[in-house]
Formats: sequence, C-alpha cells, structure tokens
Amino acid sequence: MLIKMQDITKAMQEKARELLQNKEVELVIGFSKGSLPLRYTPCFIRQPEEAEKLAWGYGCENNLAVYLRKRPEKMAVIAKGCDSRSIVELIKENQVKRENLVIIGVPCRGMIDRQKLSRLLAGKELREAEIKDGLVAVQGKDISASFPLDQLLYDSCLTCQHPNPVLYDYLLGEQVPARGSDTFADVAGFESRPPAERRSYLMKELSRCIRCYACRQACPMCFCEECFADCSMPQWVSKSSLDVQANLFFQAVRVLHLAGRCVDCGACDRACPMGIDLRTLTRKMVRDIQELFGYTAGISLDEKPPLAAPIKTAAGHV
Amino acid sequence: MKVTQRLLETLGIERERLRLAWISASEGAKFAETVTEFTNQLKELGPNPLRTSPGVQEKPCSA
Ligand code: SF4
Ligand code: SF4
Repeated sequence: MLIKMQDITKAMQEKARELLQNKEVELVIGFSKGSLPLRYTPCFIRQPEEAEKLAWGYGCENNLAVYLRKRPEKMAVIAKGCDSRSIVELIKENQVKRENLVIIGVPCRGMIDRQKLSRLLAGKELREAEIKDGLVAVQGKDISASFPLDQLLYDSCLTCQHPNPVLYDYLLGEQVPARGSDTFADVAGFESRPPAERRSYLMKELSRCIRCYACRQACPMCFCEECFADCSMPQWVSKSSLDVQANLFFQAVRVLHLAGRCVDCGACDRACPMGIDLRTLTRKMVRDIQELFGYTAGISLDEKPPLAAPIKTAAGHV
Repeated sequence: MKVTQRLLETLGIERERLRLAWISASEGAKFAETVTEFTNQLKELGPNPLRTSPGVQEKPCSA
C-alpha cells in the first residue's frame, strides 16, 4: 500500500506540473509533507517546478474545499471523497464556479488519527511511521510497535460511505470499496440517554471551548462573511468562552446552519485544539436531515438542497 | 422548525419551548391568544434546563 501512496504522489506531481505548464490553471491546491511523521499540510503550488512538493499519504486530513471560495484564478484541487462532496455543495450554493476548477480526485483509504496513535503510545514521541499491508509500524524513543491501520483511522473515516470522489476531472489511483452502511448508532446511543445526562455531557465538553473558532474556519461550508458569533450589534451570543451555555449555543447554531450542507468530513472536530467532541452534534444533524428529507449532502449536483425546495416526506410537507 | 426542535431535544431542551406561528397584522386577538398560551406553557415548563444543569457557573460579572 505504501508503494501505492508513492505512485499516487508521483501521478499527482505530474498532473500538477502538466496543468501549470499548459497554463490550464494558475494554482494547484494539495498537500505537502509536514515536518513530523504522518503530518501533511495544505500547500499552494503556482510554479510547475514546485509541483514536486506535492505528496499523498495517511495524514492528508484537511478538507481542501475550504480554500476554494471566491478565488478569481483557475485552479486545481486535490479532492478525497469528502472534499469532493463539499465541492458539490459549494457549486450548488454558487460559491465555486465549476468551470474554474479542475478536480483531481483521489480515492481515500481513510486518514490516521494521530491522537488515537498517541494514546496507544502513551504519549511517547513518534519518530517514524511506515504503513504497509494494512499495518502501521511505528518507531520512536523507546518504542517499536505495529498496529492495524483500522485501529488508527479517524472515526469519521470508519463510517465514511463515500471514500471515492463523487465529482472529478482526473482520478488518481484505484477506486476503494465503501465501508458497510452507516447506522448512526452513536447518535441513537446518545439520544437514548436521559436528557439531563445529555445536557451535562455537552456542557462538560463545551466547558473547555476557548472560542478560537477553528471549527468554523476549518469547515468549507461555514463561509458567512459576517458570522453571528462575531456580531456586536446586536450581540446574538456572548463572546466569553467562560459562558458555557453560550458555547453550547454557538455550536447549536453552527450545526443548525450546516443542516443539509455538512458532509460529515470531521474537519471541525479535528481542528478543535481542545479536543471537544463536535461530531455528536454534527452527525445528529446529518442523520436528521437524512431521516426528515431523505437528503445526503454533496452526492449530486442536480439534487436540490432540502431547504431550497419543498420536499415531500411520508409525513407530508416539512 | 422540525430540525431545530429535534436539535433542541438532543441538547436536553424540551421541544415545546420552541414554537412558530404565522399571524397576520390584522389578527390581534389571535396574536394575544397565542402569546398568552405560549407564555403559560413556558411557565409550566419552568426555567431553561441548561441554566440549572450541573457544572454551569453563573457568568462572572462584566466578563
Ligand atoms: S460541520 Fe464539520 S463535519 Fe460538517 S462539513 Fe463542516 S467541517 Fe465537515
Ligand atoms: S474549535 Fe473547539 S475550542 Fe475552538 S471554538 Fe470550536 S469548539 Fe471551541
């Protein structure tokens, strides 16, 4: 599988070089290797000779669709399944012009959750990681261990139904099989707990919030020019992170604004520096929209978003 | 509305606390009636449970 990743990296660099050389695009947005093992970071390539910086691996976790809005130039973007679904929604919302965008799709095998790994390593420093045949071999100070890849993937990748890009101009690598259906057992489990317990769980999580708004910035769909959380006239919500109710209110409104638009990529959850569980609420919304409107975000360009068209459900119009 | 009510419920807030009614400017009586009824319902439900849940300190003044 390591070979495969290298092949994809190579194909990616070639494609980027070609697109830039032929002046088909001015910019290629992808990933380059970070300075730590398993770390990749978004990168912006404008010159053909810089294309060799591009890389592909198990740490390409950011949703790159977040960088596409309101750019005047023609550009290409590397897109996993989730990135491509966000792009579909952005096109539908007139935020991105399809004709200005070249989508280089990459089927995704899931990304490695470094927090899961660091818990397994009990905080010991990781120096090297190699992925081969579904196993992750890690080396570091006083460690040499190997874990099954599935044990280390992000939760969002473990339930991912669309690992293959839904919209692309070029596809690098082979399509990967989707995982068995997502039953939203986590959401149902949470909802089966008594209300007081749910409240105190969420309040406890959000009591750590520092209002850095990284969750909002990481999300491709959170793009209002003026966010309600930043307004002072009127001030809709307290700006103090000490106000736990307000922190929860901020998340509740964020999730509500993402109804029918969130693709459950998990970017917000990963961006949170305080490790707050944000997916319980985002996934609840994804499930409710599926249940009420039969709509899954980012699957097709033609399907109207649920709030843009009256949709008939078993219970009549909603 | 449905979506919001379901979200509130998950947060542990009763869905009866949120209501949407369309009342035209000429329907004064209906407006008064609806507001009174809703106010009574809210009084019955008592204060917002989020305010009283454990782990919530009151906001430090002028924070
Ligand atoms: S809310 Fe979170 S999971 Fe949903 S699209 Fe935005 S970043 Fe992705
Ligand atoms: S990223 Fe985390 S800490 Fe920052 S505002 Fe969002 S929930 Fe709060």
